[in-house]
Amino acid sequence: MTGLERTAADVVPARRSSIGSGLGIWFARPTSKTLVMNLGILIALSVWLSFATSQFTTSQNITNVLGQVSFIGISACLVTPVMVAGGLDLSVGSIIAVAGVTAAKFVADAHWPLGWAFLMGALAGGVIGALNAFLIVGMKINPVITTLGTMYIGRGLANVVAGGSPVTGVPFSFNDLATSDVGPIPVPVVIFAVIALVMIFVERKTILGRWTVASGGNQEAARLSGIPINRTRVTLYILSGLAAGVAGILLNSRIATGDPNSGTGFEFDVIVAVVLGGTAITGGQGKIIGSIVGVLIVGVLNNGLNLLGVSTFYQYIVQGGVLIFAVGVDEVFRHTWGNILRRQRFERRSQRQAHGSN
Amino acid sequence: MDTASGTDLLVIDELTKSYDGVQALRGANLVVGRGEIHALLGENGAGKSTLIKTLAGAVRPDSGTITFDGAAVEFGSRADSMNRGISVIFQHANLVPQLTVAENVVLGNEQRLFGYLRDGRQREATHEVLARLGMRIDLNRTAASLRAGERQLVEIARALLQETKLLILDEPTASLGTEEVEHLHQVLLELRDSGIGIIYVSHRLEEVLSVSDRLTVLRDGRTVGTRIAAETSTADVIQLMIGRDASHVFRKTSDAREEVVLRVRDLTTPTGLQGVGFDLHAGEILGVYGLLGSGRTELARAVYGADPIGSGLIETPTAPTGRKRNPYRAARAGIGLVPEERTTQAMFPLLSITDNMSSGRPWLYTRWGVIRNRRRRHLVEEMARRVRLKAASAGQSIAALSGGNQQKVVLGRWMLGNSRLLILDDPTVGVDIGAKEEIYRLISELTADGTAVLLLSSEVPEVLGLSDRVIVLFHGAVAATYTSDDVSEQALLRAAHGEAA
Ligand SMILES: Nc1ncnc2c1ncn2[C@@H]1O[C@H](COP(=O)(O)OP(=O)(O)OP(=O)(O)O)[C@@H](O)[C@H]1O
Ligand SMILES: [Mg+2]
Repeated sequence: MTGLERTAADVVPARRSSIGSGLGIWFARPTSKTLVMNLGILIALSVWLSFATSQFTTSQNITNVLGQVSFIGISACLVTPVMVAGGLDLSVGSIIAVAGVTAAKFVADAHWPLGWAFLMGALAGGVIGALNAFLIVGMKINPVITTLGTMYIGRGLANVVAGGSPVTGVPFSFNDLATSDVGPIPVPVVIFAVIALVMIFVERKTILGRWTVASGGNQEAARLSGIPINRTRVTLYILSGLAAGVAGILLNSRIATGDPNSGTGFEFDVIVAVVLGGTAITGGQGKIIGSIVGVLIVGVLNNGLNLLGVSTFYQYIVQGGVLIFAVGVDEVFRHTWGNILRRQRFERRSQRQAHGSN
Repeated sequence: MDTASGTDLLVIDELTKSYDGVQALRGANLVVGRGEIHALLGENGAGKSTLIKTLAGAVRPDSGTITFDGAAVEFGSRADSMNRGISVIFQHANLVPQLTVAENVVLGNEQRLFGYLRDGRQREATHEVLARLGMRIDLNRTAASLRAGERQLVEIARALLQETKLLILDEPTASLGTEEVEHLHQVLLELRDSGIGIIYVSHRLEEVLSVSDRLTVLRDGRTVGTRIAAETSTADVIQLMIGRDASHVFRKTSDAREEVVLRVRDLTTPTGLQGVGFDLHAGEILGVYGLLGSGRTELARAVYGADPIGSGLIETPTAPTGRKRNPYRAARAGIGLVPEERTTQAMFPLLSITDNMSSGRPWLYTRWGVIRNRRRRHLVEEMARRVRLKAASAGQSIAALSGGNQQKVVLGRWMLGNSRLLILDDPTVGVDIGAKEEIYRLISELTADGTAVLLLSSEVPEVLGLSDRVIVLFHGAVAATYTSDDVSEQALLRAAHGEAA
């Protein structure tokens, strides 16, 4: 149909229909296989929980799950492209605290209007993102080391500014942002959905999205084909800081104050979800939609374990197990299983041939 | 089927293989004797590498039989095939760059004593083998620091240490200069005389015909003939390969205009260029010839802004000069670079053909940073047709293409849109003869439109046939300049070896 297929047909006759090959190509991508598998896991998990517990399918619980995952989800939508571009951002958990404390301080001490205070909180996240970008892209310091460093710096700063405990004197309306609804949907979920949609658009339809996968896939080739890899990475780190800042004001709004210890371990929840969703730790590969499914799996799992009355300690064990299992099964599926299938097919054929020639 | 007598080392019978729907082999036959150099030829995507991968145990055939050394065999893994005495030097170099020469040679074959490496004896053996190949290099150098030709020899050394019966080389000379090719051939002839069977894949037909005993041609995954090399001309081979005649349609008339597109003066770089200077006019093709290490690639990278320069001047009317040069600005200014090494410097292996081809000139298909998909697809498919890309669809991963077709994608990247200056560093590496013709025609079309081309090549006929002027580099400096009328192959080679013209 298309020009290219015509060329191909010139040389290699008997090609499959274009739709067939399109689907085939889509499914041949490792990220697509992971996505399909993860959707399966998510559905199976949900079906099982809806039988195992009576509350799981109530609309209140579903809203609750979505509300809980939205913070991690917002951050995951931007940590994904950072990782796809070959980087890493471990500072997002501390940004949660920095953003929350900043917003709370602006309200409580400077008496700024709430909206502006929240904006300052989110921007504080962006500032840490810019610091990451400067150190990683400008100074060429390894991203793991850099963001590990800014993770500690951020946590320390938040504690210094807040005096080691949640900010006092925050008006009760600080809580409104996270607890109000748009129609039936809580605000954090709406913001998560908007950010997710925008980022999926950016990933698929804009040149920034192409630059992101290209710089993670082969940095030297990206540079030589005229892709501004530095500008791409700077943009992504700043956006990741901003998104974590947004997640931070939402999360702190929910607890109605700025808590310097909020978001502890958050960065690992985000990375678990992103990696579970099929993003390669080495960069070059990964999809935001995959991370969103990863976020949902983690959220549903935790919620289910809560409903089943499993203690938090066991939840950690299960979460770690699921991560290793899901990523491991994926590897096994991609390599070993494929090889076994191929070997069987081959042996069957050669047997048939052996019989045929007898 | 009783051809597998004592004399034949390898008999391949009716091998087929498909990669999810792409039929790479559809009945390939090949018989290689002991002490024979057997050339395996065919267009890009004909199935040569696939055939070799089945022998290496890297790919399982769907049907067909392989008889090796008198016994029917089936290779389940690389180790399987190595243990039986088959060594493969793949199209893409296969050494671990961080390891030293010594470590690379014994890799996978380490002699251990309770887990301790006994490298003393192995180093001796390695030394011996390398000496046999006429190679004197420090065993402690890392593979990354070797030149392409040296890397090839190290890989052969590794094969020899493993008591090889069949040595397979997939396009070993693709990036080698004349001298290194000759050395390699010398080594191959000696190995042949010691009784080793050799399969030799190449697109440089004259070269491969001169060294091989017999040749087999594949077309669309099928064997179309086996010939005695001494009784076959390149024209015959081409006829077999593509079913028609092809000659290099080199351009005759120059399109050079007044306007200077690139002015280089006294260029000295940390990478080894010393006082290089020349002008390049719009519509002109300036060939740059030189042996490996003469500074060809370094010149390409400096002009493009990929490497920092020490002193001197690189001036293009549209791109910034001096420290402000970088590949991004160069690309914006209509300059393109097809780099020397495709896999490490030009390809995004995880991305599609479309993404790979459209990465250089995004402004052709974006508005406010948003991709106009139909436009992009249209551009890519049009270009795919022009370079005769052989692929299932534009959404296919570039990693699934044959080597030559990957190169066409990289070339297509810079042929999209209008270029003011194209820097082509060995642009037809691994490209088959039919497609080469097509690419030369495309280059001529571009120059007719006023594009200037800096053509750096290790193939003398390519430089001579296409260029309006040729400069020869020796040790990082310009050794000679010729116009297309007063240059001969001999003169070019002499200058490249530093002998005064
Ligand atoms: N991993 C893969 N997945 C899908 N198709 C593949 C894969 N590898 C090769 N092919 C297809 O198989 C066919 C034969 O490829 P092969 O690499 O054997 O060609 P070749 O003769 O070595 O060509 P070249 O001279 O360009 O190296 C091509 O059409 C190629 O696109
Ligand atoms: Mg090949």
